Amino acid sequence: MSKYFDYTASAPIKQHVLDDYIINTRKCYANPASSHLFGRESHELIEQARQKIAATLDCQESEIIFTSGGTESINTALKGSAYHLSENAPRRLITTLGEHEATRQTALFLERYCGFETKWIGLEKTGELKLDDWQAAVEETEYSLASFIYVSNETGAINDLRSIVEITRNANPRTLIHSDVVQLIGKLPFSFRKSDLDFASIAGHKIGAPKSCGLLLVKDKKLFEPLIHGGGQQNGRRSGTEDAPLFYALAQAVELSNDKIAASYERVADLRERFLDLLKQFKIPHQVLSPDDGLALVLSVSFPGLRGETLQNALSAREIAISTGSACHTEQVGKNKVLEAMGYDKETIANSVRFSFNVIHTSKDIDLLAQTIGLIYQEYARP
Amino acid sequence: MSDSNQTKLLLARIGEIALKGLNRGSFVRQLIRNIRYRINELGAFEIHEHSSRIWVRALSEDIDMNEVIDRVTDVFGIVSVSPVQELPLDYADLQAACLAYVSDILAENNKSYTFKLETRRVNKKFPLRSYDISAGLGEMLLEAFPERLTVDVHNPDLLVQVEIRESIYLYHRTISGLSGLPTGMSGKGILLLSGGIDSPVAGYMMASRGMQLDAVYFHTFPYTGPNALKKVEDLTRIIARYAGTIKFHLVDFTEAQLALVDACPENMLTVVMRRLMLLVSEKLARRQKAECLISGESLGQVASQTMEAIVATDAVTTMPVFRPLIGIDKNETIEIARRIGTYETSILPYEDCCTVFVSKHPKTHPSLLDVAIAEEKLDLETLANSVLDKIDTYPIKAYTN
Repeated sequence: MSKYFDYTASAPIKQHVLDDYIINTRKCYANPASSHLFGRESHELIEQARQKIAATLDCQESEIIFTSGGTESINTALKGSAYHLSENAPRRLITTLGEHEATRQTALFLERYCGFETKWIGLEKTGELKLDDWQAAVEETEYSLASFIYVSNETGAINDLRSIVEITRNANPRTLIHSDVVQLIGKLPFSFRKSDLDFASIAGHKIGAPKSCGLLLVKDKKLFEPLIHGGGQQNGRRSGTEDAPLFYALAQAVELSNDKIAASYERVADLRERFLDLLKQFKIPHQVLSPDDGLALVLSVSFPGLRGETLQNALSAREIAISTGSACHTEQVGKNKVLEAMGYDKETIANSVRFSFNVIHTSKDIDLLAQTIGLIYQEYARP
Repeated sequence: MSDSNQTKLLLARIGEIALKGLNRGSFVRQLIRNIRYRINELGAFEIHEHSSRIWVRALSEDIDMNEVIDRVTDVFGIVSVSPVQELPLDYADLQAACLAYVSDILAENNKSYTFKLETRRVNKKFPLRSYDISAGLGEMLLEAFPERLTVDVHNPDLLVQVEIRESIYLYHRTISGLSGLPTGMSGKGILLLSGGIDSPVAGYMMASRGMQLDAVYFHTFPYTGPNALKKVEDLTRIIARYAGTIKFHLVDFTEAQLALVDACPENMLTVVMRRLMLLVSEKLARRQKAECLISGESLGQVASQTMEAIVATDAVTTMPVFRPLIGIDKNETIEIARRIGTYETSILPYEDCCTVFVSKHPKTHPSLLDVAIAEEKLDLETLANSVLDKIDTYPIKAYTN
């Protein structure tokens, strides 16, 4: 029985990962940079971690940088590339209105402090970036950097990575392309090699690793200026003593979440269908904001007459966890940049919530969720 | 500075209350009770009044006197506090102590100081006169620290003060208190807390005039969440720093709120809701033996705070509603909120009264007739009584260790 429907925000550590993490933390405490026996043991653990990740995500071991999480990876890819641009390269970034705050704020930083101009590409009603607009933009202007979210953390909308990369490369082969693939990893198969991306950012805690770990995949040792300078660890690309047990835990989580990935996805898609069927069956008025063909694990729904926060509070009192699409305090009512970019009005956004389903949920969990929402809607909604 | 931890005695000066004639005794007793309440948990103290001052003596060894000073200066009725060294009535002892005292101050940094020595001789049995003591000690200090000290009698960096009473008291630091009247001397009121910037300041202001506070919060779960409640509790905890333990009344207001939403025209919802809140608060106040209500309204600030809206709201109760911020500008309120430490909590982004229930186009000048029409389908009295059964009361203290 799981009443936790907020996996998009964070997931529990996988039991097996946690067990090994504890053992390794006790055992491999030495600095992996030390050349004595103990240090070599830690170093060996990191080597194993790299092998697992390379095998699962289809990348070179040398393309892997361990970071403190998705946010650091995104910051490193964008700022690091910007710092490293040659003098005559255009200081222009193209990105979208559907990004996670980590990307949005980094883009704003580059505007403010590095003389960058940002082109913000809008979203379709279904949440994907407007591909035609993207194409027109990259064909018209030269961009040094491009960054887009692969799967939206708000709606699950999946961007057409292959087309975006192809269009961008055709327009300008020198553009460095980064994608925030945080929400996709562990849910759908991912090959870094086939993606043809220059950078991909990944967070550990969304896939059952501990918090404060993530990955930045960097194609062909592309050069960038590191964010963190120091002892030159990870080939000078991310200094700071390496946490061998943590890196290993992340690798295990990457590997485990890739196991039976297609079957798991199928199962979650069924659960989502079931949930939507129940909402109809119980005659609970609602509007699905997520696209039909988005990632099945993320579902954004708006309930007319019921503030997202009210539903969240009432569910929370019944020990059920979901997330709101926007906060309920005066200035922030109806504010959600991604949903706004999709063209939804304030009211719809204020009444929106996000469910995240996971393979560990059972149909009973889904039934309970839908029933409880029905009761709450009846009692508290004022359409 | 380090000296406050060397001395275990505080001299607290009292202002206004010294003037209160026949009530003086009870005022001072209340003030001592309030001081004792704030510092009790920090260790053992002896607190007494002598010659129009309150003396706080730490009896245990490991007491953090800086914390004691912080807490005593936050007690309404205290004008200022000085940590003092107590010495026997002996000039040789005074000389030695004064030398060590100033030496300690100078050891804190390498700066040079201008200084002045001031003596008050209340105890006329002491053989030396004030002037002789000041001159003698001043000379001694100049000789001892010729590189570091020079005299400036008008605007000294360091003012060393000596008071000759039943003992000799030596000090150089005076920390301002909040003044006002000791809490508990001016009856009891119930503060309507919303979680915004104004109501905590209103409570603070009434407490500064000696009023004991209860607080009432109307919680509309699930429209307002646990964060909103925690915020209001945190605000209450901050006010309790000044006003003493506050009895907190948590009202489950959801059902009544929904009844209003269903029966009342949208543009009158806010006024009617406030009327119901006042009515419930009044009934609660009578139960709790409080004599007034306190709210944070400021004239014309928002639609529900126009003259007409306030008149329409107040008509529901016969109890006085104190609004200490009524003529105060928002910026001034914010300044007080910052000073007393509630501002940062007040601006946390949790709903203070869920936006679902805020009228989109409220009537800004409602008449009593408008009110009567709006409440046609409502029985406010019965509704208020039913709310009264859904109140959870618990004390909120400023300090918990």
